[in-house]
Amino acid sequence: MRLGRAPWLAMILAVFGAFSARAAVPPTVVATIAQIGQPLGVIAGDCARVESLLGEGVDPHLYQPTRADMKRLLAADLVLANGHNLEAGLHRALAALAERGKVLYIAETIGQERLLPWSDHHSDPHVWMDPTLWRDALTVGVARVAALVPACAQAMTARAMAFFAEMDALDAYAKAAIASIPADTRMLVTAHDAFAYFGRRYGIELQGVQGISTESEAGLARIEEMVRLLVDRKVPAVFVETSVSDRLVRALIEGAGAAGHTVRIGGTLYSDAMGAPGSYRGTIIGMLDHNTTSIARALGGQATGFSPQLAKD
Amino acid sequence: MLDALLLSAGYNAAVAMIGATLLGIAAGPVGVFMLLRRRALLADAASHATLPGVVLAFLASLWLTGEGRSLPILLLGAGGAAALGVLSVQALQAHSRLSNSTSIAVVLSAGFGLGVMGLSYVQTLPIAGQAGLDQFLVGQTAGMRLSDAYLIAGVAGVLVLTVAAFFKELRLISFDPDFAAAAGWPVQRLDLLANGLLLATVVVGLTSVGLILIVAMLIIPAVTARLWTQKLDRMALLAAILGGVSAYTGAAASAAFHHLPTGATIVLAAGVLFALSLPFAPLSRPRRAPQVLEPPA
Repeated sequence: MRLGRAPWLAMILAVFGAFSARAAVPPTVVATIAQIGQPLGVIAGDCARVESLLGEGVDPHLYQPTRADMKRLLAADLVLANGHNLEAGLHRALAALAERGKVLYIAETIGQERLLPWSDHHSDPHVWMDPTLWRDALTVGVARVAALVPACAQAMTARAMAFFAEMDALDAYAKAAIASIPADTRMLVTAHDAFAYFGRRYGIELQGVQGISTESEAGLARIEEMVRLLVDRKVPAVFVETSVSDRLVRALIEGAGAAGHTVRIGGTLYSDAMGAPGSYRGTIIGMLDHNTTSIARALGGQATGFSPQLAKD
Repeated sequence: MLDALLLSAGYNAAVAMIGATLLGIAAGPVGVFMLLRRRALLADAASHATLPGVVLAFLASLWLTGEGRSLPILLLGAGGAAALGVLSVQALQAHSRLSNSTSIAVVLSAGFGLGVMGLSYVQTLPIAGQAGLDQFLVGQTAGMRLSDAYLIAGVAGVLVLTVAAFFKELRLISFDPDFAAAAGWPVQRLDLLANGLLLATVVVGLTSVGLILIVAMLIIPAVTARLWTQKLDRMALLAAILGGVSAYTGAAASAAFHHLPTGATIVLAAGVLFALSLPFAPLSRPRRAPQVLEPPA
């Protein structure tokens, strides 16, 4: 029996087809938090599929991976994590993948001298609060993704430049906005401290009721001290966070009110979690814009918003 | 410290001290009945059982109103789940051969496990507001507001009055439930009443002062009072006084000195009163002291 040429040709074409299709499938990059995944997704464009593991409103400190998460992590060509023990619940899964060289902790690529202390063993992990630091951390991530798709390197570099230029502009906006707050009331009062890098970069004093950990409990002496501070400095607003209970902050408002000084809630700030995916506040720029603008306006500064999208969303 | 003891350390300190003290006074006698019925840890089981209720209520409220964190709905869920937990303990005791402490342990761990499962399901949903859900209802003594203090005052008043009104009945089921049943008392319903008192204390306590403090306030003053007297009326009164005093001094210390978390300091004060009672109280020693056997010469 003679085989026609057609089936052979078809087979050869199929093999080549599969090969070329394989080459065309972009690599999968999984980011742990959206603060990494969102900007990387913009910069990578069609060159890589970038996903964020943690959804909106999830606390990365406490997140426990599910089976489906493990599958996604194992299937990824590259995992981008923050590091400095931010993803404590994911630690074991990430450590196993790191042995295969598939994990990059982008916040840990920043020199120790530029970071702030947190616990005995780790630096403050909330590095994205300072856009200049975060830009440098993202740059390392972009380089690793570009190495997976060399053909795309040029296009990605161009998009990265544009994105970082926007982050620089946001940094300049934030500097001006926070500086417009009167010196006396330039004080950020929140339930816990995720804003240390923000405070250092823009020169605003930080006062967290609970100190740095969300686990620790407050004492009455600390509450009374903060109330006196609010009253003496006539600070007009305090802030709540999306991921932390607002009880303590509301107790401060009541205490200051009893002393004859009206304090209001200046807004809800994004600390560990960002806004809904697809919305402006679900982007790193939008999240920082929202925080900066809310703080500046509530404390008596001038801020029109970095982007007109802030008012629309 | 003197300023703090005289309620003049500031508004927040005064509110928290008064609220915690009222809760301590009410929790003392309730704890005595729990202790005598060998159910000291029922409060712990009830408070852990609130977690799955909170998760379910969060999902229900999200579905109904589009906003997950509605305080009344979450409270309802927590209270309902705690009640279910207490009823499960009661049912396990009535219909199985498990001991009191075993039934409590089963319900406590099952409730908490269910809650953790629910939380890890919720964290995979693309919705806002689930971060810190497990802590959302849990209060902090230092963050007590006037509305919390009013709620505590109301509930504490009802608790104290109920204990006083049903004192005879509660005493009967505490010491000899079999006799009470034989004599025609509605033991099941009285049991329900006792557990209801506990439940009210736990839910109000959990939301205003937190888990550790409310469990401690139910147990430690009752145990300390038990060391001093065998008479139930005196024991209840003493537990109320001890609970109130530890809450008052503990909160005052937390207002006067830095780095003393309020809830933990109150527990410490109650613990100190217990430790001081141990060497002096007449009933500290075991009823049958182990005999010291001298080896024959």
